Amino acid sequence: MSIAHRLRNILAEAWLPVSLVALWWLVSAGSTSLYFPPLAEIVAVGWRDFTVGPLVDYAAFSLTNLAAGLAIAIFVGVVAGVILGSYAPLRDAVNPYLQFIRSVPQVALVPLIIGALGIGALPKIWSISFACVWPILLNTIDGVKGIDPALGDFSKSYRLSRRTHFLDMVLPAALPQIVPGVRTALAIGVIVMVVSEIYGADSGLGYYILQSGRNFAVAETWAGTIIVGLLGYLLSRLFEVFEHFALKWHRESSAEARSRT
Amino acid sequence: MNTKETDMNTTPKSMTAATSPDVAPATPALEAREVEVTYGTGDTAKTVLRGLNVTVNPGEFVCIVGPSGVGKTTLLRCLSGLLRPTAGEIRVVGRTINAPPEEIAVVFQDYSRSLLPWMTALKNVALPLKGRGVAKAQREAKAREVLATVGLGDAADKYPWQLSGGMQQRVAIARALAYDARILVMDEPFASVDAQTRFELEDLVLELRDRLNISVVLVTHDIDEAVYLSDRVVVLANSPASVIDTVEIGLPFPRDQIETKGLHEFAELRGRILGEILQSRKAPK
Amino acid sequence: MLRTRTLLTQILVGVLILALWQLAAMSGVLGRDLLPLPIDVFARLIELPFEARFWNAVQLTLASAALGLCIAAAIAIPVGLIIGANRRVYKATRFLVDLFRSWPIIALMPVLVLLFGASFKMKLIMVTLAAIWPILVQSIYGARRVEPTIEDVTASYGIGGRIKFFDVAIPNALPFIMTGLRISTALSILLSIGVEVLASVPGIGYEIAIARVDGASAEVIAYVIVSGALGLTLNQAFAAVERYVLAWHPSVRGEIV
Repeated sequence: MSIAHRLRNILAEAWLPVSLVALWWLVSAGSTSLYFPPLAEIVAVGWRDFTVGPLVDYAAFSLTNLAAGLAIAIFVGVVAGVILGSYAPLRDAVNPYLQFIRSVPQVALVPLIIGALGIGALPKIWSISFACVWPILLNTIDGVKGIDPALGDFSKSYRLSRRTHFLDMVLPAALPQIVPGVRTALAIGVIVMVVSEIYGADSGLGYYILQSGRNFAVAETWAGTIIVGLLGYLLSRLFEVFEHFALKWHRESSAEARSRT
Repeated sequence: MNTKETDMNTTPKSMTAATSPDVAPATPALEAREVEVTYGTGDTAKTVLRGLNVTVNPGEFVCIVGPSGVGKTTLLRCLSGLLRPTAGEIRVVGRTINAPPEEIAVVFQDYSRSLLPWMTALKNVALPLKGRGVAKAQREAKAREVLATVGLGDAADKYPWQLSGGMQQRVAIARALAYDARILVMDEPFASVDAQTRFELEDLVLELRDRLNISVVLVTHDIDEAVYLSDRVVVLANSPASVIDTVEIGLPFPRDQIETKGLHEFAELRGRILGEILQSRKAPK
Repeated sequence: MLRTRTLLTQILVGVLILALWQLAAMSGVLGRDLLPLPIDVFARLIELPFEARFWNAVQLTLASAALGLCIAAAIAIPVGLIIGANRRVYKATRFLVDLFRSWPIIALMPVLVLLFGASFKMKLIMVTLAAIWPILVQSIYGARRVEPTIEDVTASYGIGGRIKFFDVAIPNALPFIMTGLRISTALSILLSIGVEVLASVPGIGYEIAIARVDGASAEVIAYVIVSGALGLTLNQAFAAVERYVLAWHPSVRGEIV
């Protein structure tokens, strides 16, 4: 692809977002509305709170909770999912309960967990992992369930150890299903992270948004909202990059299979 | 679904009168002249077809054979107006085309994808007529009629996926017939059905050609099929592909799956074409 | 016979869960105000349907979720089909769509509370803002993803314009649109309850939040169970609609593709 072609491509994608931001900047300049401060002011207070204010600490608090919660959810979800996916009778026995519990809107549990365990980091991690575990678990079960039975026969006939069978055969085979589950979990995790911090916290980005809103520091509220939004976007893009590499073999082999038919 | 293609369909087909002096007395139904197709540009450019000439006379049955990947489908997309050649031209009854012309109906290899799964067989067959603005009652009557012609009178209200592969391909053929095309262009139409069904469909197409006096261009990699069906076989080979031979098939009509294929001439023609294709593969590039 | 055996094990698992719950609650490790006795929760679940307040809460949650979903669909489906059908529009909007689909809309709540107060209207706007994106993304995807063979068919049979749009493009995108609607249905309930919890807007979430403040843990769990039942019911109802609308589609016919 030539450089000129590439530039044209970037331009075709960038002109609308850039002009919208410019429009917002121009229209809001000199705004005296309490609710819609000038974008310049939003950026300025955001930068101020980021450099000298508490925003870095808050973001670190939010992100470590999210990472810890997600890590627990992945571990529990994948392990339980592989077990349930491999043993049909067990899966059938718990299925109705799983279907029910994953239908509970995850935020309904936030007051329960935080209300009971307090406003520190730990209850938030529990809330996040409890909300995130279900899509991972269900996708893992689906992925393991859908594995070609020939794979099991293969492991048996070559007498692979259980460990090798699960780690080298079952897990990679189920990965194309597990990864989308984690992606869904990530989106839910960010929501629960914000909700839990708005519900009760003394740190975190959600807390920043809530506090500034309560103090009618509207520019800060907007700044916090935009930062959380950009963070959500950044995380999902990062995950896409990870997914791109983790599932390279899957994408290429299925493209190959398609081209053959 | 981009607008460019939509435009292509709605604007009137552009045409150029054929007045060159070298046109044969009887204007060919379909003609490819010095067609070249190159994909991509610069270093990654790949020329698939070069200097390709094919002529199909009115009422003629022409098969295009060649090894897999030689560019048969590319040629067929050019012939049907779906792909504009990089150089050269395609003529339909003497006029140059650069969009799918009304005279041509295409039957695609992949019947499971070429039929719309959300429509019954009847609606699928009637859809091109709807595109022409034919009233509902008329187009459905016509669709029922052609479905009966291909032996699917009872299947009109079934969805494609409720039909066997062979029946689905019959629906696709019926759709082409309902379009009142003068030229049927078929891309490996029987490659995805079982052998028994394949013979039935081959005989069906031969019969329809006789009854409706249409021209048929059929792309296949099966040499037996090509010899069995054709008045003339066009052999493609090499890369970029060009016509290495045009074989007149003088076998008597009506053809019969057992009798025709048992003829000495059949074996001879088959051997000749197979030999040419194998030879072209061995030849140094 | 297999079915009765499965059913028996399922009941067994249920009994096991209840027993563990009972033991945990009696031991008091988590404290009564976090984990009530199962019997108290079931007592509340039986009482709730006789209380007007309960039905009012359910109605308010459902109304905001359903209305928000409908508004979101009415905007997102046509806009998505247009974006997906036009390459240039698709390119220009790609970043914005990507940005907002991963934007945790709940973070906008404090701003909206400032603008509209803790009202039903605010909740409705929140739900709509969140529910738009999955439907939009799927509609765009559906409009862009047309089998090349189908493109060839429409081109070679001269099918274009309105007929192509209504008879080909829309049915083709429908399975994707339905997926978007299903995701957004769950999301709209999630957002309704989330806003009710956080901003004290009447509804199921509000009942959970005040019961929690009152230390009425049986009430909290009872409402959590109700919200789960609501989610499950909507999901099942949606699956039924999908089976009907997409009867022609392989995923519904149970065919392997």
